[in-house]
Amino acid sequence: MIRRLRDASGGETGVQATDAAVGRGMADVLAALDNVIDDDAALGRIYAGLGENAPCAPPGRGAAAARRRLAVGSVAAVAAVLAAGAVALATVGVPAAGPRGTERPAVNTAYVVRRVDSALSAADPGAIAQMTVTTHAAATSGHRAAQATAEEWSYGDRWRSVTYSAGHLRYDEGSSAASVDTVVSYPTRRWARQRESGRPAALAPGAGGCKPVAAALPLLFQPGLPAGGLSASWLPSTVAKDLRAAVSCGSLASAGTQRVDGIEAIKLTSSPDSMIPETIWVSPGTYLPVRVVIRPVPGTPGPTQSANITWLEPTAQNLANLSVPVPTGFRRVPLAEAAASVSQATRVWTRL
Amino acid sequence: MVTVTVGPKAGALAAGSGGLRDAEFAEFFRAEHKKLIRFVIAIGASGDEAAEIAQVTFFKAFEGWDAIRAPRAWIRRVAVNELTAARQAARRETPRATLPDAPVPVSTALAVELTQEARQVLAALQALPPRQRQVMAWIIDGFGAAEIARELAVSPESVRQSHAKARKNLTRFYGRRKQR
Repeated sequence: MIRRLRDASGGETGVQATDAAVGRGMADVLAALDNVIDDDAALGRIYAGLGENAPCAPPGRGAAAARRRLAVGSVAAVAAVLAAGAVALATVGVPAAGPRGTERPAVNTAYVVRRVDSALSAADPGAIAQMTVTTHAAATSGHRAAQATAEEWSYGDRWRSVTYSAGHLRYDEGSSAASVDTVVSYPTRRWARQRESGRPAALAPGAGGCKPVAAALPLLFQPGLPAGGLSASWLPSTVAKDLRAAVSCGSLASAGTQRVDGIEAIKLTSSPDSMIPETIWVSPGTYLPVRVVIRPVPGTPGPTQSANITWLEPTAQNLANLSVPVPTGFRRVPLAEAAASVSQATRVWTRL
Repeated sequence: MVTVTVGPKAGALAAGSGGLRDAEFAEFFRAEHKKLIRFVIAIGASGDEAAEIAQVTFFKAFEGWDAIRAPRAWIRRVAVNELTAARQAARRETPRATLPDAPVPVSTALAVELTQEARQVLAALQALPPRQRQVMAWIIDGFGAAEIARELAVSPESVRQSHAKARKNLTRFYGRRKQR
């Protein structure tokens, strides 16, 4: 009898504890939704679907809230959730669009930017950013179409850039942890090494952190050489830092998701009136940028430039990519001479 | 368990008072939008699916706002119907793995925002038989047995039994978790 009473008592306690856990867990779900759903934007879409204007938001939900709105979607997240290591939410098919022209609910724009910012913060200096940068210039009067490709690595103070043009290796340059810069020119079979000539960096001292992605990544999009005209006084930076500065500017807005290299990446684009049309795709699992594309301003003949980014663990094998090998038989020359020969060899960039 | 019975809509507005009607709907929307998404997740939908269904449900609620007497219960009933219809449609259609340019997914964001406890509760709810899960979802949102019985077209006693079984199953689920 006593045992039965104990069991009953224990059982009741267990059920009460379960009730409490369910209450807490479901309150947490609501709190999480609060972070990712923007009610005002969702309400606006309902009114928009009926051709009406949304009534004014109550006090405290004004412009600040309005600035962080973006469209949100439905279905494609299943794979992304799994990739994110995620939740035991049910996964079934869903209709692609709401009825009678209703659009998607809304998620917090600031949320995406915040996640990207903290992911980049964690990646700097913990991960190696490996990039394949392609620059394509359309044919113009007097010039044929041209394309150049560069492989780039950035890790803390170390970086390396290997440039190809017309399928040939043109030059290889980089800076080691001891701030020793090495440049190898393949067309002229020359190389140079010099201490602390300074790497190209994104943000000039005192210039503030807010720049377009293109300006934040001169290493990617305006390749230069340590002695090739870039000021040694520029601040050393990393790709992660520079991307972080660009993404946090507030000039990018979410534009849904798009498949990039097998993942349903979150797309952030510059506003239509932006001087430099640029788009960043970030991984929904890690929130790290996986692709950057910069297009010419409509009506101008500039190049389209894109970078595919992979974030690597700093293993010995991956760190080896940051070293600039000097082929046997190449002649060592002063840095300025090697830089000049490289500039000659990479005219495609100057035309761009 | 807290019981909230929703009666006729307070201050139902006369025809022609469009501004007030909009304001009343907006207030209701802001109070219930996320709760409805949570409700739909609790009965077995993914975050994206739940957000989509909530949007559709509120769209319908706005259209018929003047005639809806118990809006909290009404949106939940419609959302359940929408989820059922979506699943039936999904069974008929060839599923598409991805949609080009789909907006940012809610599930992805939730995946990183949910606490361990929230994940556990959702997993526990998913493990319940459908009727018990549905009753739990209504109870979590503060509805009483009589109201749930009306919405599910069953007797209040049946609701109480489903609730009791659900609590037992959830407790067992948590017990197994602790043992692991």
